[in-house]
Amino acid sequence: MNKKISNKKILNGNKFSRKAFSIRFRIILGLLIIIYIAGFCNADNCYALTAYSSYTYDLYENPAKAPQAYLPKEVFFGNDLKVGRLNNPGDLFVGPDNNIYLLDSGNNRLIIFDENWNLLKILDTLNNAGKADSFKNPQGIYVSNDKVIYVADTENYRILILDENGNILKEIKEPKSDVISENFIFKPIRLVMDKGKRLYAVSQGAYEGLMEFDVDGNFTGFVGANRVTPNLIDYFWKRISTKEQRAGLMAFLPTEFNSVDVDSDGFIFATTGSIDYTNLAFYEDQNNVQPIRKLNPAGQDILRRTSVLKPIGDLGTEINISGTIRGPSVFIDVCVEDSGIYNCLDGKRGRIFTYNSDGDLLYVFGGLGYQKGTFRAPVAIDSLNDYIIVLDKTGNRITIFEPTNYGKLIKDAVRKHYTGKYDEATQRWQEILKLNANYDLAYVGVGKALLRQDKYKEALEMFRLGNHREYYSKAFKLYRKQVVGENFGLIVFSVIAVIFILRYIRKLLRHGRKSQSYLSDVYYKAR
Amino acid sequence: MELLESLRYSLHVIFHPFDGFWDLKYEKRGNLKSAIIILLLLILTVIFSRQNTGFLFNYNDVSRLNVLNESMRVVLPFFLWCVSSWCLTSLMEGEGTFRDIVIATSYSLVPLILINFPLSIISNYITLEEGPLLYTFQAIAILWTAFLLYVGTMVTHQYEPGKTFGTMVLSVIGIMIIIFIGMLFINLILEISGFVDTIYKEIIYRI
Repeated sequence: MNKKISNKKILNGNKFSRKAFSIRFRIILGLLIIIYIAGFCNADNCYALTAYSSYTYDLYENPAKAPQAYLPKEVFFGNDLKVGRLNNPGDLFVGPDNNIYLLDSGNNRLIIFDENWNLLKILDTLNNAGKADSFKNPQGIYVSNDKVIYVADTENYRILILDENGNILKEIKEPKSDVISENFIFKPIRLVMDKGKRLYAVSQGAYEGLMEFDVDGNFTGFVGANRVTPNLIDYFWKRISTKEQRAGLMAFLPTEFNSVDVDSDGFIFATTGSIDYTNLAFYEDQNNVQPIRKLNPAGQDILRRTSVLKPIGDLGTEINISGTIRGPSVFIDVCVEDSGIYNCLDGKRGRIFTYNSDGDLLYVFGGLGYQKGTFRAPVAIDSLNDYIIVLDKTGNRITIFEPTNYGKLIKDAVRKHYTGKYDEATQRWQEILKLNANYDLAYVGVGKALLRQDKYKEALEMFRLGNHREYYSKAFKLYRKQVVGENFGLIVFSVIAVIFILRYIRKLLRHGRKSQSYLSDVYYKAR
Repeated sequence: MELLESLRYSLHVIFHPFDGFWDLKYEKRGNLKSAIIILLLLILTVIFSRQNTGFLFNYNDVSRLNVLNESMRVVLPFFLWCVSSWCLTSLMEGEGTFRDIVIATSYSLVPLILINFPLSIISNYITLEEGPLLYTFQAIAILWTAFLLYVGTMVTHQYEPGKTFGTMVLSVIGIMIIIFIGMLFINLILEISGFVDTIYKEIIYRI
């Protein structure tokens, strides 16, 4: 009661000084607000990438610059290879004996080189059981281990099976089946064979999946079709719209494949270009975007995607836009190397993205342009030993990329890790870190080794630098256990001490408050 | 001393909201200065937790932390809420002035400070599996603050519970309208400035 009265008294008594203070207070507040607003006026930094830069992505989806992993070694035009001018070449394949098969689609011929790019053979007229035959704009080629050549003879609507001398062993024409709709056009563009001698072909515009043929060339069905997942909102709109409106809406079509490759275990890698990227900005949704798939014989996608950022190429989020090309990558071809390493060719920006078996981005190289190492319209990619060969359709040229020391180290580390030689892999990772301090994968690699050696504190630092929360948590749990175990006595003692000190302080405070209120009572009474 | 006293009073408010908010307004236990200090403390807490939450739970890119942008996350919603709420309550026979609303709102933010500040320190010493503990406490802080806002609005304007709820929902809609108009305004200004700029350039080039 007393207190309130006294408050009022002070309010009335010091009216003038309070007001003055209030004006000063207001001025200061005003100035602070002005400074605060002014702080927003400086422009944000811009992060741009040149066409040729090498990078990986950090956890926050920002590109982190990296040394070049691959450099262009040679560029071949048709004349350099003594085969005349190439005309819109469609595909390139490195065969089992390291012979290179080049499909010169515009000239309707197949050119075979040995691994040193010496011309071995040109197949343009084919022997079809005695009669002359030829290709018509063929787009895909595959050569099996017994040197049988499979060609997707696109505009003749057939798949050709040839021997090395251009004799047609078999023709696969448009198959008849219940699962094929009537207006389906058989236009094979890419093909591949698995270990069971089943042939898988990509047909242009076929959204049912890959076409599977058995050993005898009989059509057995579609595999690997993309799942269609209409969302609730679309469903709602479909329900309330009229028939005409519904016809106007885009149909829920699964996406179509555009290229295939096979790994050494016989699994099919397939890329697809048409993907719904609407929600890509949130990286939780990257799991639903699968431009690259690894299909088992049942047609299920079994690609490992345990990395933080999924194997989808450029993310296309606002900050990563380079130049005038926007949006995420569109994969148009894939090439599988050993140890689970695979290269994806992005047709949009002409970049090659290389991933390990977990889906971690290893390095990026290539780009669109006219200079050495860039392409005008890349169409196919394959690997020969550690070299990467890229076919440029519009540029009518072949570019051969050679790994740098940095690239070799990464590949080596991934291979050693893949085969379980962790100690050797760790050595490589450490060397990589000397070359590129932004390489998250290397930090995690070193961290795992340190964790195995029970060096928890050092491992923690590595996992933090490598932005790997799961392993950080594991290491931290062990580290905490270690620290608590070592200092158990001290911790118990300090806890008890703190409790006693707190009690003492509380007692003091309570005592102090009592006496204070008593004093103030006396004081107010006296007034 | 008066300031400290009114700050200390905020602890009473959050534990005894009905009683506390009443005294805050009608017994003049709160003042604008302490309200602003609470707001500043909340800004500091937000920045601190952005910066110092343990690596396992901190998904922000700490190297690109911008203190001003972070502070905007507190200041903007705060003032939008106050303005929107004031606009509505003065139409709906609320008894509180703008000052009352600012004070009540900022006093209801105290749990966010009290819980989030220690949480971000604790988060440095727990593993991912113990994360739910952290999230539970964060949820408690938000629910507590929401409850305080509710009681604060109810007591300051002398509303019935149902009307309070309705007002709060309308305030949120009001915030959206304010943001919409603000964007529209900024857009128009940009258009006009662009127009003036083009005319200026046009004239300069002709002369």
